[in-house]
Order: sequence, then structure tokens, then C-alpha cells
Amino acid sequence: MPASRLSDVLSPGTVRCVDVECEGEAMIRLKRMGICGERMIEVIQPGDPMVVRVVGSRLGLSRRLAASVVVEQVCDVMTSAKPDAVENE
Amino acid sequence: MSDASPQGAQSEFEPLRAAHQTRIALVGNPNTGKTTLFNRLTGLRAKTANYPGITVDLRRGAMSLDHRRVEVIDLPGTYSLDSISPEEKVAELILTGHHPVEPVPDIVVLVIDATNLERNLFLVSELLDLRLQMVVVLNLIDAAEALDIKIQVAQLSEQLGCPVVPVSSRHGTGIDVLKDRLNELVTGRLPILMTDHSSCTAGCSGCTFSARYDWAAKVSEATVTVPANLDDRTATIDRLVTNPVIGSVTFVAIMLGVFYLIFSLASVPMDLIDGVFATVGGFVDQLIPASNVSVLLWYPLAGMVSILIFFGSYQAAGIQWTKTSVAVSVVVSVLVACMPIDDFRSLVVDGVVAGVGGIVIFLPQICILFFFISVLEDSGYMARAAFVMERLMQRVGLPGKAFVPMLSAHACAIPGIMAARAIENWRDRLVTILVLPLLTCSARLPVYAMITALLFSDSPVMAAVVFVSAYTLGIVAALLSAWCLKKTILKGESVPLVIELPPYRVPGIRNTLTTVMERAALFVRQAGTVILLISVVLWALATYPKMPDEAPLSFEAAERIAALRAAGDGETLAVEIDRVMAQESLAWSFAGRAGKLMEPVFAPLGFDWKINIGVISSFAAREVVVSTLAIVYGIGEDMAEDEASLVEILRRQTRADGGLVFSTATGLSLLVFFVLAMQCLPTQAVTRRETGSWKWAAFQLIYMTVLAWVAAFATYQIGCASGLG
Ligand SMILES: Nc1nc2c(ncn2[C@@H]2O[C@H](COP(=O)(O)OP(=O)(O)O)[C@@H](O)[C@H]2O)c(=O)[nH]1
Ligand SMILES: [Mg+2]
Repeated sequence: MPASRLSDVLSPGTVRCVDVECEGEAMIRLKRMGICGERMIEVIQPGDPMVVRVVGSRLGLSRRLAASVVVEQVCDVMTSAKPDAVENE
Repeated sequence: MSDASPQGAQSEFEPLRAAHQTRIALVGNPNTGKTTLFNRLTGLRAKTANYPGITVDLRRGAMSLDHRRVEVIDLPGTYSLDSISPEEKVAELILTGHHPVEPVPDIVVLVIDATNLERNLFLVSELLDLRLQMVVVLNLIDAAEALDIKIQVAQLSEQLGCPVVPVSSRHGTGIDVLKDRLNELVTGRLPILMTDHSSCTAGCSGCTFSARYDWAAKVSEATVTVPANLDDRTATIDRLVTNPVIGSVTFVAIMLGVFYLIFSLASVPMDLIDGVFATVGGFVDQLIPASNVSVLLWYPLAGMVSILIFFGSYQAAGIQWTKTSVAVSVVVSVLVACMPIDDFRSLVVDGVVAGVGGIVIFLPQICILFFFISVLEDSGYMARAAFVMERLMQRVGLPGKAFVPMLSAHACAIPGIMAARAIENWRDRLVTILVLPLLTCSARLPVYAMITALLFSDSPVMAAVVFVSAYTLGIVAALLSAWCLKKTILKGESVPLVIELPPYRVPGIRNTLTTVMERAALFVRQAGTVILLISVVLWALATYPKMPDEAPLSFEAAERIAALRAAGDGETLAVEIDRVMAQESLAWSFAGRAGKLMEPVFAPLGFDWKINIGVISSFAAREVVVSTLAIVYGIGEDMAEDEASLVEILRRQTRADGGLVFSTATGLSLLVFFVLAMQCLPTQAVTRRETGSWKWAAFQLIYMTVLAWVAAFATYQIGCASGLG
């Protein structure tokens, strides 16, 4: 799957986080909320700021930060090990 | 920091020494119900404490476990031990044992949200690594049950290697079990078990965050069954509330509603307080005898009253009885006791009673404001408000969370500054605090009203234009200043938003009321005593030195008295002469002299020395300028309430050269000055407290005064040039 940025996701759906390319406070803020390596991110509402669902809770996320998150598309819903991250509304 | 070394120093099996009091700390993510649990355990007898440096309040209280007193501390909520905000930093330092004052707690009560176990397990994982004595409280268990979330508690406890107690702090279920567990820990420590947790998080190369979340996912999968469509309700509401268009409209509607309620609900108690203090002032006035009845009785009595007032203020402000503070109170009380009786009366009525009234009058707005802030926060809407405002606020380099403090500041800057604590990033918080007093607070309204009536009494349209312009000027100045500060001395991009949008909940009324009480108490403690002090100091400045009897009257006053005498009219004559004398003695006092001294500074703004006295006296509270102007222009303080006659007389005042004192140019310049100038020492006291240093309070005073002076100067000069002088 081609890698892209979380900010490039324009329609709701689930992606997998590959890498977080920022440092310092911004990185800690993302990672401690669960936006870090290999976690599933469900984009609920794209835009700026966007709404995503990670580790069972909804997060508001500014586009500037989302631009530093490298993600890949999840082609098959079944590949996800996390049941609550893929349920669609 | 996430892999802090184990606290192996303390022997794990040794019972706690009875010598020192056991200290229990409540830790957890924000909004998991720590404070609610704290109130349950300690029964609302909390004290807030803080440490030097940036102010972070910690709630402390005591509870008894099997007749043993233990101390409970409510640590600020945090998502991880990698702290972002100053509040989180305090929690991190205390838990990792790096705090300069506060030692590591003996027992950690980790409060987690049963409706969102997986996320909360991240912090559990970090805390397990600290190897402290720990009990995990599975809070909000009632909410989890209502959502049909099933948790195998025994299994969870086994996986975590520490006791897990399901609790509903709102309803009180499980509290007894929690106390039993705590009691077991206090009397005999449990071994801290090694679980497979440590091997899992420490051994992984690369991202420890990810490793901890992997562990959390594994544990929650093994112990929790979550129904599908868990947050349907929240999702439905959010589809509207976070929508760029509908969300913004909702936001504006809610904020306008709150604001309307603040002003409409507060006006009743404020009028009441105003009335009560006027009555009390009158009562005290009559209570004090007209002349010294008995010297022996009077001196000790006056001294006692003064000592009592000191006692009350020290108590309220939490000032210790040290050598200095005792010396100050004794010396001042002796001085007070030696005062002539008329001065004493004036001190008590105009200084103390008016000062205390000045504190209490703020309380209704502050309480109502914090009530709504607390409700919005606990319901979950506040996070959405920050989300909606994020884009707009980022334009001036501030986070979305700065909006609510800015809105609050339109009622009063003090609660606005206190509400700025919600902003995590310290630099963003500081910028917000620094610009908040530029926003038009309700204390400015009487000043605006006076000036508009003065300039455009016959045109309601013009009056509306002036009010709207004044509000706009404040907002624009605040936003521009924020932008400038972020570009210069507090350089740095604002921290972009990452915010949890918690599920919507019905706020607990008890929790809300506790928050309101705490904030009100904080205000009385921090700003209240400053207001009282300023009020007394300003009274002294306006009273001393006394005009000696043989002092010559000013030409103006002599002329007026002569005119009055000529007109005859017995009863009003005495009153009128009293007014002229009040005017004369104010001119003679320090405040009057300062007003004349300041003439070169304020003349370019079109102010005469009498207006200067008003400007100086308004440092206690802006609205005081109205009553001061009433006195300096010889109208009498009692007439200040009657706006029409005040305005009528002010309008007739002429300068030495025959021009009007309150020309359009001067009026506008005065208006601009009051929009932008700091002119509020109580706010300064709160700025000092929230920023931890006088440095920022001083900076705020200086930059705002310079800004106000320059803007008023420009207004006056342009006004004069265009023929409005
Ligand atoms: N239903 C339910 N609500 C709770 C419980 N504990 C706390 N709350 C609510 O959760 C919100 C946040 O509580 P608070 O104690 O301020 O959380 P803190 O941020 O961790 O201090 C408040 O509205 C509480 O009334 C609980 O056990 N059950
Ligand atoms: Mg709390």
C-alpha cells in the first residue's frame, strides 16, 4: 500500500499509522494519545481540524499535526486486529 | 521519562512507619472522576495548596482509614508521564520523585475510566513501571454498565498485578471496598508483583508508546467485552457540533446564551450587594459616635477593630502570622487608634466597607461564569468548543482553548485569567493572560456610559456606535497584541490541537458546585485582599494630607462660595459649601497633587488634572472614576449615581482658556484610554499569581499603559486637528 499523510485522507475510513515525523512536544502529544507506530486510525471527519478515532476515543486533531503522520491505507477491514477501531458508523 | 527507573529504594515488604502520615495520591487521565472520588473520600474538606513558581493548585484533604488519618492529594489529570502542561509537570515530578518539595506518595490510587479502558491502560502501564504501591480504581462503573461494557475485574487485577476496585464515585458504590484495600496497603505492604508487563514494554526496541498501547490492547482484549456501536449517541451529536458550519453556529448560540445569562442573572445579586453595602456603610457611620466619648474606651476599641480587620484579611489571604505581618498589623492598628474620630469614620466607611463591597460585588459574575464553564467542561462540550475555534484562533497564534478565557474576560478579566489554565502550553497560556485585560469588562461599562452620555446624549444611534466601537477596539487590540507577542518576546508557533473529545455526559451538580465554591474562594483569597488594601490606600491618598483651616481656597472655589452666598438659600447653601470643600480637600490631598504632577504626562491626551485624579483613583476599579470625577468637579459623591445631573455638570466645565473640558476630542481620548489601559490592580494580583511572578504583571501594566497612552494621544490629536477640540 502506498504511504501518504493523515492530512491527505479526504474521506472517512480507516488507515494504519506508519510513522510520526515530528519531534518534541508535538510528537509526544500525538504518540501519547495513541497516534504512533502500527496503530489503527479511523478518520471520522476530515478537514481542519479533523476528527479521528484512536484507541477507543475520539480526538480532535489539527491539520498541521496530521500532516506529520505517515499512514497507509488498510485495504481489507479484516486485516485489523482491533475490533473497535474499524467499526463504521 | 517514560522508562523511569524503578523505585527500588524502599523495601517492599516493610510496613509503613507510623511516624509519618501516609500520603495517598489520586492519579489518572483528565475527566476520569478523580476530583469526584477525592470529594467522596475526604468529604469536601479540601484545601488547595500550591508551590512556588507557576501556580498549580493541588487539592489536599484527609480521610480516616480505620481511625488512622491519611492524607489524600488530588493530582492534576494527565495522559502520560511525559508532561506537556505545567499541571501535568507537577504530577510527573511528584510521581517520579523529582519534585523539590513534595515527596513520592506512599500509595497511588490510579483512577481509570471503565468506559474507555484501553486508552487509560496506557497510563497504567507507565505507572506500573514506577513500581509504587498502587490500587487501580475502575471508576464510572455505572456508566460502563449502562453501556453494557463487561469487564472481568479479577482477571484485570491479575494482569496488572495490583488490586482493581470497581467504583462509581458519583453514586458512591465500591468506595467501602476501596477503603478496605487502602487499609490493607497502609497496614502491610503488598509485594509489587512482576507481571509480563515490564518485559513487554521495556524490551521493545523503537517506540515505547506503541509498545505500551500494544500491551493495553492485549489486556483490554482479554478482560473487556465492548458492544459494537458504543458511542453512537456521542457520534450523532458530534456530527452536528463539530461540523464546520452547524458547529460554529451552535457554538456562537451557546456562548451568547451563556453570556446573556451571566449578565442577566448577575445583575440581581449585584444590585442587592450594592444596596446591602450602602446600608452597612450608613449603619456603621451612625454607629461611630460624633465625638470621642471616652478616651480610655475609644483608643482600645478603635485599635481592636483594626486588629480584627487585619485578622480577617490575613485569614482570607492565607497570610501567616510572622514577625513582619504581626508588626505591620500592630503598628497600623496603633496609628488607626490615634486617628481623629472623623478620619476613623471615613476610613471605615469609605475605605474598609467600600473595599469589602468592591470584593463581594465581583462574586456573582465570577460564580455564574465558573458554573457555566464547569458545566460545559463536564458535559464534554468544552472540548468541542476548542475544536470549533481552533482554526480561527490559530490565525493570531493562539490555540482554540484561548477562546473561553477571552469570552469570560468580557465579564471580568479575573475569571478569564483563572480560566486560562485550560491552555496546556505555557507560552500560549501566558500570551492569553497578558492580553485578556484589553477586552471590555463590565467594570468599564459605567465609564463608557458616562462618556457616551457626555458626548452624544441626544443620539442613541451614536451611543450604540460608541459602545460597539469600544468593544471592537478591545477585541482587535487583544488579538493584535497576542499576535505581536507571539512574533516577538514569546516567540513560537502555537501548539496545534490534539484534544480528546470525550463522550457527552450529564454533569454532576455536586461537582459543579464544588468547583464554583473553590474558584470563588480562590478569588477572595487572591484578589480580595488586594482590593481591600488598594481601597484603603486610595482612601488615604485622597484624604491626606488634610487641608489646614488657614489654607487659602483656590480662586475658583472662593468665587463659587461667594456666588453661593450671594444667592442665599439657607439649607442648600451648607450642602453646596460642603461640596466645594470636599473638592478643595481632594485637590489638596496626595491624589490631587499627583493629578497636578501628572499634568505634563496626560495633557497631550487632553486630560486636565482633575481627570488625572479620576485616572489614578480608578486603579482600584475602573468604575470608581465616575464617582471621583463627581467629587473633583464639586458635584458630590451622592450625585454620581444620578447620571443625568453628573453629565450636565461635567458638560458645563470649562478650561482656563474658555474651551470645554470635555470636548469631543477629550471625551474620545478618555474613552480610548479606558478601553486599553490596565487600570485594575486586582487583575494584576491575579496575573502575578497565575504566572508566578510580578515580572509578567509589571509587563502587562507597562505595555497596556503605553498602548493606551499612544492610542489616546493619537485620538486627541486627530480629534483636535479635525476641529473637535
Ligand atoms: N456517571 C458517573 N459520572 C462520574 C463518575 N465520577 C465522575 N463522574 C463525572 O465525570 C465528570 C468529571 O469528573 P471529575 O471528578 O471532575 O474528573 P477529573 O477531571 O478526573 O477530576 C464529572 O461530571 C463527574 O460528575 C462516576 O462514577 N459515574
Ligand atoms: Mg479534577
